[in-house]
Amino acid sequence: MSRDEAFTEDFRQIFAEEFESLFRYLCRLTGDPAMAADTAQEAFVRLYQRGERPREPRAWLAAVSNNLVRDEHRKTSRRRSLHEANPTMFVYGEPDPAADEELIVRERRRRVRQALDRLPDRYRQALLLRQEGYSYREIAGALDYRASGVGKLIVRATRAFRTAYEAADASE
Amino acid sequence: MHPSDAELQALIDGELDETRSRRVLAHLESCEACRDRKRTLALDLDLTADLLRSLDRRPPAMSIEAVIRVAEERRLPARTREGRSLLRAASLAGLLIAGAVVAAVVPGSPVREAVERMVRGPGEEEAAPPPVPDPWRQEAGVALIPSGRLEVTFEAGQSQGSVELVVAGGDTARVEVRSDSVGFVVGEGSVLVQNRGARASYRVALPSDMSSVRILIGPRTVYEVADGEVVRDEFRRQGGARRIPLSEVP
Repeated sequence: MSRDEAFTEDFRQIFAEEFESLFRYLCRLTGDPAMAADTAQEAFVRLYQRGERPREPRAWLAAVSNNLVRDEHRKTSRRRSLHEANPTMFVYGEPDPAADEELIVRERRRRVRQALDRLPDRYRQALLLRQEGYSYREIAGALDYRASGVGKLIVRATRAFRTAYEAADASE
Repeated sequence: MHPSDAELQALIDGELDETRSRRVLAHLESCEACRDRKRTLALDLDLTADLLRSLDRRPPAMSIEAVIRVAEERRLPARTREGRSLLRAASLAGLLIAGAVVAAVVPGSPVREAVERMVRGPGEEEAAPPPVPDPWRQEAGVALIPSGRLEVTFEAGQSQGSVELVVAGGDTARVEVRSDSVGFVVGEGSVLVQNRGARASYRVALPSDMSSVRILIGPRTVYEVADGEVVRDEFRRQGGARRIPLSEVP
């Protein structure tokens, strides 16, 4: 098996194992399923172009995705998203219909979104990566952070999220 | 000595090494306050997980083959590293031009004012013309897309008007509107024509060597090129031109 073939096989395995998780992370991070799908796809395109397996593939994918999201947010301050303008054309993963019918679920979703949006980027990213089962070393790699500080970061991020969620709840 | 919250969190997450883990567990045996702290941390994590699940969406059916195809397309021989840098710079320049075009198309709009402010810079005279880098010339009503990949979306069908398709040489694609004012939303490789309620006709001019093109009217794909091959073409030949009436899509 040539080096390229070996990498392609490796790439397929990483894609199969990680695409859903990366999409879910990005969906939670951005609140925009279309952007999450585009970003996850772009991260995998870049991984393929890289041509070799990173030492920590999940951390690498998350780091690339975080950069893409940051760049996209900068761009969208100047132009409107095509997806946003045409929501009916880009239906990426509808919410669960049964759950979506319930007002209480919609309300909870709104508050969770609001609470997440109030967190500093690093807290939000650390919290969401931890929830995706990333190890401390992977989180440190993805966020360019020291591994010894990840535990504290997660404690603070979780507390900040819970406080923000309760504040959103109380403001109703 | 009581373990820190970070240590307790790491214990919950299975991230403490064996020695520290043993030490913290031994402490928890005899310290109810720390057991409570650990319980609270674990509970917070569970509640957070439960709340975050409410945001989840089903993932899209993403084909790995499509991902590989996009990656391979970008490996075209002409695009050396230097070429890609130039392309990125050119894309940025193209976006600036396109932004100026949007402003030109929608007189008096906030977009126009914002773009004008951006191009002028603070304190400059309104008459100062925006810089127009080569090779993309600014033409009113034309969106320029310096990319090998293009998706043109007309927001909706119209009661009148048509889209003309021209495939020719050159190295830029253009979307041109005639006789009406519509908005363009220009992204890298994408143009949204905000033509809802308009009656204009349009011309889409494509370089002949584009490898990936889609033209949509509303939700309907009327023209598609994939891997350099035309896989869908609903344009009709009328005289020397290829057109599709916009009234065909409600």
